[in-house]
Amino acid sequence: MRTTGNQVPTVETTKVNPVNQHLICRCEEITDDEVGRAIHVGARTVNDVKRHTRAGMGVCQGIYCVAEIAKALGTLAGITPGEAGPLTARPPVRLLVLGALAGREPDDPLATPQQEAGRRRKPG
Amino acid sequence: MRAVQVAVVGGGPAGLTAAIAAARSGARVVLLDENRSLGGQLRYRIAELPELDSSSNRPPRLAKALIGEARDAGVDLRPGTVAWGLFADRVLAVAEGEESYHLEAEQIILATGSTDLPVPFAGGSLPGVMTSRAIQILLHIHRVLPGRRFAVIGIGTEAEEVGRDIAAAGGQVVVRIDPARHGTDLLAEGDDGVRAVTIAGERYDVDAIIVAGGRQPDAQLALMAECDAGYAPALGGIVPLRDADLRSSIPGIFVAGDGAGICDVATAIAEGRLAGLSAAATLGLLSAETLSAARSAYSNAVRDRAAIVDSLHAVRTHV
Repeated sequence: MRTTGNQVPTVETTKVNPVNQHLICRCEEITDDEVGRAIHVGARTVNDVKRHTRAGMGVCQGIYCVAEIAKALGTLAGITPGEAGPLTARPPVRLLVLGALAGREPDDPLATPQQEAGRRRKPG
Repeated sequence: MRAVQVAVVGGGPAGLTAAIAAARSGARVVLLDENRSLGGQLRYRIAELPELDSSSNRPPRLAKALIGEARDAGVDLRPGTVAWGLFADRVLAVAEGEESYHLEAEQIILATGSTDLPVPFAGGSLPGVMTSRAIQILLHIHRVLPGRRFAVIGIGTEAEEVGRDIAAAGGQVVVRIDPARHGTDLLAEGDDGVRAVTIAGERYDVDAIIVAGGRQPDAQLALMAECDAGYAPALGGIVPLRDADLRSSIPGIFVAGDGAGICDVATAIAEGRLAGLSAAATLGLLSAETLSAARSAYSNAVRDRAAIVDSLHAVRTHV
C-alpha cells in the first residue's frame, strides 16, 4: 500500500479533489487511509473492504480499485491475492440506460432490421 | 428470450477468432460487443505486433480481416450490444440500445478482454491523468492529441508502445516514471487539470500524465456465473479455471484470451480458435479427432501458458 505519510508534499485539499491522499476507489471517493482503517478493524477480503467502505460499489463495479485493495490487504495484513478473493460480480457489470431495464423485451431480439421492418408492415 | 447455439461475448481477436471457428464448423453464432465497432484492442493499437508475422501484424488490417472472415462465415455480428449479466443455464442479459433481452445460448464463449490497472498517486484524479489505452483510443479512434508534453508512468512494452504512439502523433514524452521506484514520491499538480508532475523533488511541466500500469483480466461474467477461479500472477490476477478445451467449470461456458489471463494477440487468437472448435465439438459438429488435433496445436503454440492454466487451483470467490 502506498501510504501518503510525510513523503508526499501536501497541497491544498479541496472537497472534490483530495489531492493529498491517494484515491483507491474513484467512483465512491475512497482513499487509501479509509481502506487501511477497514483492514485495521478486521476486513480480510476485498468483499469485506467493500462492505465496510463502499469501495468497489460504484459505477465501475470495482474494475479500477480491486487490485489496489488486494494489494493493501497483502501489505497491511499479509493476505495473499487468492485469499483476498475477487469482488462478488453482480449484474449489471456495465452501465445501462434505465430504459433498457424498464422496456418490454422485443419479440425477436435477433431479427435483422429488415425482418423487423417487414413484420411491422404486416397488418394486425 | 431468444435461443442461439453459440454466443460469443467480446469482439476482439479472441472473440472474433472463436466466432469464425465455431461458425465454419456449422454452428449458428452470434457475437456481442459493447463497442460500436469490432476489433477490441485492434481498434486502437497501430504499432506492429511483434508476436505475429508480417501477414497479420498490423492491428487495423488484422481487425478488418477477422471481421470480414466472421461475416463471410455467417456470424451474426452485433456491435453496440452489452452483455451485462450471465445467469444459470447460460442465460445472458443483453442490452442493445434501449432494448434489453435475455439470450439463452447452448454454448457461451467469454472473450471479454482486460481492463487497465491504476497507479494511485497524489493528484491522480485530476483531469489529464489517463491510462495508456485511454490515450490510444483518443489518438487512434478520435484523432485527438490531449496535450503537447506528457509524463508516462510505467515501464515495459506497454509504456514503450504508448510513448511511440505519442511521439508519432506529435507529442513529447518529457519524463518516464517507474512506479515501483517513485510510486510514493509522485505528485500531480493543477487546478482544473494537470499542469505539472513532481517526482523525487524534480518538477516537470506537463499537460497530461499517462498511466501504463499493466492490465487485469475482465472475468466478471464468468465470476457471476459462478465459474471456479484461481489466482496466478503470470495471468494478471484471478481468472476462471479451464480444462484442456478451454471450458470453464460450468458446462457450456468457455473462456478465451485476455479475460482468461493477460496474453498477447497471437495467444488470444490461438485460444479463440480452440474455444470456438471446442464449442462446436460439444454441439456434435466436429469429430473427436479434429478437436484433439486443435487441442495439440494450441498447447504446442502456447506451451508455457497451458502449463500455468493446468496448475491453477480454485480460490474462494464468494465470501
